[in-house]
Amino acid sequence: MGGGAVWVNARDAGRSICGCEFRFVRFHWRYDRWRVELHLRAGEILGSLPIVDRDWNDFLDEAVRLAGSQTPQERVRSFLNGSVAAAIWKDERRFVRIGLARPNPQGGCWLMLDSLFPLPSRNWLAELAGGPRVS
Amino acid sequence: MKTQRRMRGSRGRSGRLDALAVVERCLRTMLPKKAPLPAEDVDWIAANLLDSMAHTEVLACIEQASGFPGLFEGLPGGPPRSTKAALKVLEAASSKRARNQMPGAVPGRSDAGSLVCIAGWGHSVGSELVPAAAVEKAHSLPVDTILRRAGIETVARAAHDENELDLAARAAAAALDRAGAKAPQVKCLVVTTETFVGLPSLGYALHRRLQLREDCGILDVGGACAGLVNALFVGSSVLRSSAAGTALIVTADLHRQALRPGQVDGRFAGLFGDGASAFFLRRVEPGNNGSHYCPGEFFLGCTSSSPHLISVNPDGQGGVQLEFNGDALGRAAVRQLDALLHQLESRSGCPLESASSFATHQPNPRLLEMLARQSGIPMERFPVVCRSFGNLGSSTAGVALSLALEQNSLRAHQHPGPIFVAALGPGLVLGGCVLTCGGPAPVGPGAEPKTGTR
Repeated sequence: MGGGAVWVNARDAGRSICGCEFRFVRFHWRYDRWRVELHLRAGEILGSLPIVDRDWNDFLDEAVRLAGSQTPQERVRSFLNGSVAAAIWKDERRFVRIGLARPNPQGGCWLMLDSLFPLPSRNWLAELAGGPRVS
Repeated sequence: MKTQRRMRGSRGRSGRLDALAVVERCLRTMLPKKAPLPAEDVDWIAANLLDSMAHTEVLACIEQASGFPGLFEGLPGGPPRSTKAALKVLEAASSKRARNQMPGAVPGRSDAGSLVCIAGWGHSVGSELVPAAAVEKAHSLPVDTILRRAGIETVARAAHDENELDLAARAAAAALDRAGAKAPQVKCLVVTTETFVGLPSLGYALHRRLQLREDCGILDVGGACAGLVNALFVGSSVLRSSAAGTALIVTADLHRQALRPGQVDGRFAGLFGDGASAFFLRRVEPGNNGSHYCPGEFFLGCTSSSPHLISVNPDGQGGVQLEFNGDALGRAAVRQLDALLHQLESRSGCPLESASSFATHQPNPRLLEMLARQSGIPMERFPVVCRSFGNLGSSTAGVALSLALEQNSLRAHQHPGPIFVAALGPGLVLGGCVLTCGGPAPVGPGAEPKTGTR
């Protein structure tokens, strides 16, 4: 029971990064940062990976700034899991790179979302500013 | 470090949580196996007991175990980093909940964290099952038009002394009975129909028939064959945004009268039957939804690509004027329903293959089979309504949902897979939602992660 974060035993970690195709993605804000739930094409579901992709984090920071309400994360979450998730879902090049953090005191390595393709388009942000929906 | 322990009331006895036990149990999941629990005022991160990821996991665990989703979000000073700080927040939330549950407390707006679940369901179809051959004859159609081309074996027809109200009242009574509820407990009535014409509305008539309370509101919503989803959306929204704790959702359609032989093209009119469905929605605290299904996020939309495929309007002589392009409409319906199911999959995070049932609109069995093939869904996951009863309008998806809920209630699984609800109406307007049972969305077959999760 927990937030759905994923780890591997350090001794089983053969490489520090791997790439996978995914079927869809869902974003959520947890305490301090954006995370994703990933459904991989192979059938696995990774419940909660923190986003460390710089392009996506820049995009998310800008989205929160544009959302501008008292609870911007809620508005951005809805935007991400609606229009943005649909745009990602339509893109045939859905791909992620997943990296491992250094081993923690329990001997596990947390999984992180290093890159998510397609990369975000700044045009998508127009919707948050009252412009057209992401298509 | 020695752990300090305090005794607190248990949930069962006093309604308050054993907060310390919850915090320590969750903290334990992230500590090395033999490590002692820290004292209550130790900063978990500064003491190198938890890294930022493990800290998040502990907080999420506490939220889930205590039934307070989002408890630690947006706190001034950030989320708690010690047992003492976590206890303080948790106990404050428990006290607030206990105060709200005290007898005589004035109900306010719905808590954002509360869930809406389907506590009861039922359906009713016309009492006469008319064989396809008889329908073809009545509408002067070539032999096998309904049976072979559409795949409809029988059509449910209401008796001459039955109307929408009778069908609706029977379905509503079944839903209330299934929920163990009585009519005075209904706080809001939401009704949809594509056939009832007149004022006062069908909602008003049903309110009177069921003898609901005077302070039970009535909402008549449209959408034709997509009406069930619209009604579920309205009912769920009412419970999430007002003091109402229950809502009764009803669909009822009587095509026998609206699509009489000789007045409307039989290739269209012959497909329709008469039926009704009802669902009793109740607001519950997270963790208390038991084995009930709860609607999640809804998707409502409208596609402008097929505006002229069907239109039904009054002809000014007491009948209806119909324009439709059956083949194109069928293809568009399958394409849009398939896209809608994938949209729901994407938004909900529930893979289609994890679903226990699909309660969709079913224009006819042939189109349903096409949808199953196109979406890659086994036919047995669709409770088939249209083969025996015909197209029931807004009640097609309603009866399918009622059957799906009934099937799942009989299964041995404590948490059967989600139910996808998807429907579309003339336009095409479309809507859907995913109902999940007993907590987080289940994962699909073969989804067991090779990696670990905590």
